[in-house]
Amino acid sequence: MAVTSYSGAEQYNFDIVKKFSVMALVWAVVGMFVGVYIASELAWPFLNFDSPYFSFGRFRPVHTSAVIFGFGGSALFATSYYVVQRTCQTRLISDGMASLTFWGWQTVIVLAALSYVMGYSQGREYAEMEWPIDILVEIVWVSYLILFVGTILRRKQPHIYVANWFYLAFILATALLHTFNNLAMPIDLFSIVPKQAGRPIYSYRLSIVHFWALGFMYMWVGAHHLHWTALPDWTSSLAAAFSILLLMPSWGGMINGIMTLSGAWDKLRTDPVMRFMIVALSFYGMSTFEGPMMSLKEVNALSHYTDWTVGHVHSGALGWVAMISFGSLYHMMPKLWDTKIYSRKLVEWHFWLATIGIVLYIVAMWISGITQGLMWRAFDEFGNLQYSFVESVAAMMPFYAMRAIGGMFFLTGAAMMAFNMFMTIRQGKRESAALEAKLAAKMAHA
Amino acid sequence: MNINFKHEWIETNIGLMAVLTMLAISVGGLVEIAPLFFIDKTIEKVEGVRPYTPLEQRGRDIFQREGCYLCHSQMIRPFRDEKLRYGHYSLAAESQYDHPFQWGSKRTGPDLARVGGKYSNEWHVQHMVAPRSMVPESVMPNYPWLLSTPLDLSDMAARMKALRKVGVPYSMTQAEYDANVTQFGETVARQLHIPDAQKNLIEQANFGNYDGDRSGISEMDALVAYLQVLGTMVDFSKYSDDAFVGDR
Repeated sequence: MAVTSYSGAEQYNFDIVKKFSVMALVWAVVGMFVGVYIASELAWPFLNFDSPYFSFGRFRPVHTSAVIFGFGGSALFATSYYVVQRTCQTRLISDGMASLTFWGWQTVIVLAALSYVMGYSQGREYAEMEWPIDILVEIVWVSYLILFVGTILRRKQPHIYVANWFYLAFILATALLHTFNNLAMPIDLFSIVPKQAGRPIYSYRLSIVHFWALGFMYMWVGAHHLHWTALPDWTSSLAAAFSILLLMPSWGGMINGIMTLSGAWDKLRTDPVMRFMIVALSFYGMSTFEGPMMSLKEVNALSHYTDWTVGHVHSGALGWVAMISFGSLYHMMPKLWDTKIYSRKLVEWHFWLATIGIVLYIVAMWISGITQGLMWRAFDEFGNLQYSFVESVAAMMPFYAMRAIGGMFFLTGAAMMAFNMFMTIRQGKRESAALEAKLAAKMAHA
Repeated sequence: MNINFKHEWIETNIGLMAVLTMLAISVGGLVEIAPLFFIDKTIEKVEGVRPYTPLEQRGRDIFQREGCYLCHSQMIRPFRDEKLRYGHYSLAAESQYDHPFQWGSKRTGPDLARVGGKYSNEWHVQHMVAPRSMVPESVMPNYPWLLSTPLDLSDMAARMKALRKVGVPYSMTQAEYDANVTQFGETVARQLHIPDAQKNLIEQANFGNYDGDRSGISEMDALVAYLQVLGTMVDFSKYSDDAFVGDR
């Protein structure tokens, strides 16, 4: 593929994509650092340091909001603004609004993180703090919707590109839910995967089915988090049924992605970015299988309240969302700054550190989760409980340590990426400065 | 009927696509939200559940502020092992005055739905300040600042008014107070009266002396008062084993 030059082109607003890309990486490192820290607190409790500000309970929401809203959210903004402009071949309708979404969103994350540490928990306190943040989220999200739909309205060709359907559904669903929940839609599947593979999407028809089935079913499954609770039984049965059904569109999407890549398998050897994408697709398939399985009441009776859930979330969050976001950013960022990746070697290091890190994390949580579940329900020969609760806590220690180490691997990889992209940007700026100087010199001579 | 539907119509019309997407999403959303309304109707008829006293409510605020729910659930499931370990399974009625619920989703530590009365106040205070001095294998953080931080009483009434807005029957007027007397009895009704909130809080804290220190009211007083009431409101000895099966 020829490298297309975008720098200086007024056709697209790439400034906003650049900003969000950089912040996605910043939040990835910050959020994952806090994640490793709180994981270490569970393994080595002295790390709480008797301080309210570092204690696990206040620090964990900082981790979740930094990675979900900061990293995931910024990556979503970046890729969606990039994809919508490229596929519609038009500029975002308003630079001002785009800026508003950027500064608004970053403010939300900073305010939220600070308020958690200060002890205002996630919109649960009745304190005023909650309202300004909430309203700001609302303003940003509505601007995002207007910007996105407005840009699609100005598209150059009649069809709306598949990736944009998914972005639209995601924006609408989030607006509906007022929260991110666990919605992780396979958006980049339809833009950046085919792009990086240099192949068109495998089945257009499959994407249509995938889209509507996923959109329809996703909202039904919420109650599968509440099996065996004081909610009426029928709601959780219904949620379990839809969770099973959801396997079909999810795997349909995965198959579509993998079939798109097939025929470009040689790129797996030559293109490190492709590796991120294929691993991401594999984890997408795995965690969308694991999820419905865990939503079965019988499995849930064992898995709920244990580390298995934490492991499941992370196989989706690290394996799928983070890996596909890394892959997308590696694809996009050199193009945005009109240069090549600074170090492909570092990308390979990142890939292996991330993959090994995820495996350590998930395996640790599987073992500890299932062990917890089994210990809690074990009876001795007289029909008494076999273990006290704290015996199950003691049994977790090696796995909490293993999880923290897995997290460190993943964090190290992300930090390498941040460095690599920082150098890439510097290299891009230097190159374009050199080019301009050359041009200026030529003009002066002419 | 010979409507020749083409998906292309949707693919070329962003408005139509947005509307149809909204529809597809909303069906499930509605069904998911419906239970939240429905739950009011499936609340078990059970005696003893009351709103928290001002001191307990402040304790609950601290429970929330410190993120305790991230490691401790308050929702016992109807399994044999959970009954032995924690007690009777949780009823919807027992969290009807909880805003928001503290059901939780993770048990890094044990469930707390019925922790009330299981340990002494002194145990709780010592365990909160230094968990590993009581339970060597514990991974819980130390919370020494709860003992040294005086409880902020200034906004007690405002907090209760906020809860009143979402349906907790704290009383403002004489009529509301009288209604509470009918529903909960006089002793409880007095605790739920917003104009007396601060007085009630101080009285309960001084009388209970939950943190073992009479010199002032600390955040520990409130938290321990809250923990000690958890799961104790319903007297299950009054009900047969299968009394609540029909509500599930």
